[in-house]
Parts: sequence; structure tokens; C-alpha cells
Amino acid sequence: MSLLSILFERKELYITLRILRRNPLSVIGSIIVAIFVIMALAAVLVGDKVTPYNPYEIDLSRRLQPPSWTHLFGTDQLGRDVFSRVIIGAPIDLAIALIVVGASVVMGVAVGSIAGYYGGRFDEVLMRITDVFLAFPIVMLALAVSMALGPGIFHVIEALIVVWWPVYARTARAEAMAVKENQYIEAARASGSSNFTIVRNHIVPNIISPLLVYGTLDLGFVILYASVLSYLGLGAQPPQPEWGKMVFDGQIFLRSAWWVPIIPGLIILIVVIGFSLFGDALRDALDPRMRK
Amino acid sequence: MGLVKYVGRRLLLLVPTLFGVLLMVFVVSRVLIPNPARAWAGPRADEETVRKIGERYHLYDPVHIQFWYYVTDLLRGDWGHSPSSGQPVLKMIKTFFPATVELAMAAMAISILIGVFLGVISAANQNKPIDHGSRIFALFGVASPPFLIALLIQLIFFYHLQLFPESGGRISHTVLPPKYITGLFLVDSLVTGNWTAFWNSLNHLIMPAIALALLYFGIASRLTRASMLEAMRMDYVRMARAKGLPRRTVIYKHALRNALIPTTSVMTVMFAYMLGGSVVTETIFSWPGVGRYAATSILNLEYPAVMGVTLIFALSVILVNLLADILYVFLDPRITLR
Repeated sequence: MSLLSILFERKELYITLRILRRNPLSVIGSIIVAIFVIMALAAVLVGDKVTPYNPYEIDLSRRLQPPSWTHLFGTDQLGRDVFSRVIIGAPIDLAIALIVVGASVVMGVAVGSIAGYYGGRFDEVLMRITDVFLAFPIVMLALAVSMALGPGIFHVIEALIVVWWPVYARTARAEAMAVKENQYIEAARASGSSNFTIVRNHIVPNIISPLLVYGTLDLGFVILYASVLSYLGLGAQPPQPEWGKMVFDGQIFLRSAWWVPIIPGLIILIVVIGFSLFGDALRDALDPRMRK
Repeated sequence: MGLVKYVGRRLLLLVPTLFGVLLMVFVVSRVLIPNPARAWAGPRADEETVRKIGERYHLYDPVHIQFWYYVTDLLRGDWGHSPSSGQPVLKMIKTFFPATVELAMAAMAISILIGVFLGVISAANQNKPIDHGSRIFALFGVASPPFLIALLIQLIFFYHLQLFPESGGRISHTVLPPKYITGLFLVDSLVTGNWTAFWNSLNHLIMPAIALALLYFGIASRLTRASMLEAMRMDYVRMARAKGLPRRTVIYKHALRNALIPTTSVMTVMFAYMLGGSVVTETIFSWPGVGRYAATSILNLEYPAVMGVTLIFALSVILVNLLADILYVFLDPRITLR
């Protein structure tokens, strides 16, 4: 049963929502995620009409103004409204997170389900390859790959996929190994299904939902790493407002105007926590042991 | 005897991983880069220099031959040169590495202390407010971008409370660094009895170490909590409770000792994260380690330096993994040496 089918069956949906509502932390997580997604969608669909000020407009006469009712998050070193820039920066991070996690889940499921199902030499080779990836600190490998590929947001995405998929491959493999012991796999084999059919029709559908839950938890962490990469000068190029880049550009004003670097950093923190709480709650909600 | 065999087997298992790591850094630094010779020579080099560098590092040869030269160059200690300063990368890494080791070790110690403490009180008060509180505290650390915690610490402790020297670095300019023995200022100054240097470098170390520790103590606290809960379900704990020992004794003497064993295994994971986190933390605190070296090299487009740091980080993680596996045997006699 996939995550989507669970969410779209009415009774299941009701149970899921009830469990989500039972825990106040998951309510907070869901609200944060909802606000972030709406913010990102609005910024993409409506552009800078959704923001109170033009996020790119430079006005040195109102530079480094502290947070107030006119400028909720203050203004930066070029007089741009930080609140507007935070909103305009949202879709980039959401897109990076969705693409990286999506691609990692696809790659992880493809490689991991085959490795887990067939076992043997292919499995052995896959495990050794993922071992190599795990020997690197994730940030450093992502930095090196994205630097090698050159500047630009797409190279950051590619670099993050490179470091992210091995964990999914390992998880998918472990799940596939558990699933393949079930009797219905044996039944499918007895009724003449080919190995490929079994993997596609029986293994993959049964391992996809734990991986998607895991992916939800990870969305926030992808945003975190993407922001570190752009903080260090890789990824979003000016004047494109990206949250990590905003922290980097603003940090020399830490002493005189703390809001310029700190507020985008806090926004990243809140979004990561939101996805984390939401993912936790989703995991609990989909866990049969919690459904009482 | 069994131990020697175990370590030997463990070392043998390292060979494919080491090969894989070398291959990976090779692919990243030679194959992924569109024009490696240009990258190696630096953005401002003229065509002549680019060609020379390309020939020197065999960048125009077929890939498998390049890999051979890449590995032999590494083994001979030639990790490339910084395009702007002309300094050999390996020499720079040797200069900066002790600072990173010192920072990472201090941060490890702090995060294990906080992590184990919170893990134990969480487990002892399972599902009570204190447990939820420590969970949220840990979540804040894990979910925080490294630059946020570092900047907040600077803002609060350096600018507002003015508790620490804000110049950054490992030691004040006015204080002579201790005599070089290990390269770790705290250890060197202790050994030579140089108290001025000791206090001064401790003062410089404490804030970056806390900034780094706050990011990753959550890994230790969650694991300690889980393994404490598991240990507290064991028969020997029930036995200890049944014969009337106080709850405190049972928790700290019986359960904790056994629960700590899995926590040591998570240390290697934390160490890897800390090396990664050091890139940002060292930059913000002007801590002269390899992390900051990597960050400045990224900004200056110095490819050989970044690839060198990537390699040294991977090698350190592999080494710490090995040490942890060996340590594990001493901590847990139940592990059979196979």
C-alpha cells in the first residue's frame, strides 16, 4: 500500500489525521510545512507581487533598518526588505529539497530493491560502494562535487543527489530483504512471475511507503545542506535570494544589524524542524502499531 | 591472539574502502571537472602554465593512466599546489590539521557529555516533560544550520556579554604558542607546563567547540536514551531493583554502563559530521583548521586544496572507524573476535 493510496482512502485518511492531531508537536510541524509550501507556491505563481516590497529593489536610504511593523524582518545592507527576500527565497529551497529527495528515492528504490531481492554479488558490490560514500562527511563531498561541476543551482542539486542516494539504497535494500521473505513472493514465483515482475509488482510497492516517510523527514535536511553549500559560495548566484547566501552576505553586519544574517538562519531552522516533526508524525501515523 | 587476527582482518577490509575513496576523489577532481588542467592551474593562469600543469599531473592522459599517476603522486606526498600562493596542498593540510583535530576532539567531548547526560535523564523520565524537553533541545541542535549557532554564539557571548576574545584564532597574538609536540595547543601547553598558553588557548577553543558540539549532541542523546531504555528492561536491572538497590544506583551503575557501549559506536558518525561542520564553524570563528582552509579555497577556486581536504577528511573518518571497532572489543567482551 503506497503512501498516496493511504492518504486517499477516506477511512485511512481519517485515522491518519486523527493520529496527526493527537500530538501537538505534529500539529506544529504540519503548520510550519503548510506555511512554507504556501509561501513557496505564492512566490512562484504570483512572483514579487506577493511580497510587501520588491525584494530586489536597492534603496540605500533605508539600509540596515531594524525589524519594525513597516519592515517585519528589517532591511539589509542594500536597503532591501528581508521579509520579502525570505519569501522569494522559499521556492528555490523547496524545489531543491523535492528534486533531491525525489531522485534519491527513485535511485535508492531502483538499486536497493534489486540488490535486496537478488542478493549475491550485485548486493555485495552495492554495499561496498555505499560504504565508500559513507566514509566522507556529507557536506564535504557535496562541496567537492558541486565545486567540480561549477557554479549554479543545478550543480548543487546534482551534488546533493550524489551524496544522498546511498542512504536510500541501503534502506530500500534492507526493506526489500524483509519483504522478499513473505509468502506472497513465493506464491508469485510459483505462479510463474519473472524476477523483474516480482520486483516491480511486489517488492517496490511494499518498500515505497517507509522510504517516502523517510524522505519527508529528509526534506528539511536537504534544505539545510543546500543552504550550507550556498553559504559557502556554491549554488544560488546573486541577486537570487537564497537563505544560506543571505546569511553569508549579512554576517559582516552581525554586530550592528543582527537581523540581516540571523533571521534567514532562523527561518532555515524553523523549516527543518517543521519537516522533521511532520515526518515523525507521518511515520507514527502510518505505523500500524500506533493505530488504536 | 584473537585480537591480532581481528585487527588484521579489519585492516584487510580497509583495502577496498581505501581504494574506493581514492577512486571517488579522483573521479570528482579529474573526471567531473570540465577542464581539469585549467582548474588545477587556477583561474588566472596563462595558457602556458595550464599546459605545463596539465602535463605535470598527466591530465591529458587516458583516465586509467591518470589514476595510476594520481595515486603514486599522492603516495609521494604531492597533493597538488595552491594556484595562487604556490604552496603544496599537503604542507598546508599538515599545518592546519592539528587545529581541526583539537576542535573536533573538544567538540566530541562536550557533545558526548551533554548527549549522555540528557539521554540518561530522558530515559529515567520517559515520556515526561523532561524527556520531551531534551528531545526538542536535541532537535533544535540537529536542525540548525552550522552558521546559525556559530553566529548566535558570537552575537551573545562575544558582542553582548564580551566574555571571550573576539579576535578568533587559536591563541592571542600577544601569547606565544606552546612548543610544537602534538600540534594540539592544549596538550602541548599542558605537557610543557605553559599555563598562560593553556588558559589562552582554552579561552579561544571553548566557544567554537560548543558551537560544533551543539549541532551534533542530539545524535548521542537519542541513542543513549534508546539504549538506556533497552538496558532498563533487562533482567539484571530488574534483579538489581528487586534486591532493593536504590533507583539511582541501578540507573547509573547497572544500566548506564551497558547502555554506553552502543554510544561509542555512534561516535564515529558524529566525528564525520563534525569534520563536515568544521568547514562552516572554523570559518566563522577564524579557527585556522583544514575546514576554514577548504572554505577559503572554495571561494578562491583552488581545486587541489578542496580535493585534498575531502581526501584527508575521508581518511580520518576511516581511521576513526577502525579505532572505534577496536575499542568496541575492549568495551564489550561479549563481542566474539571473528
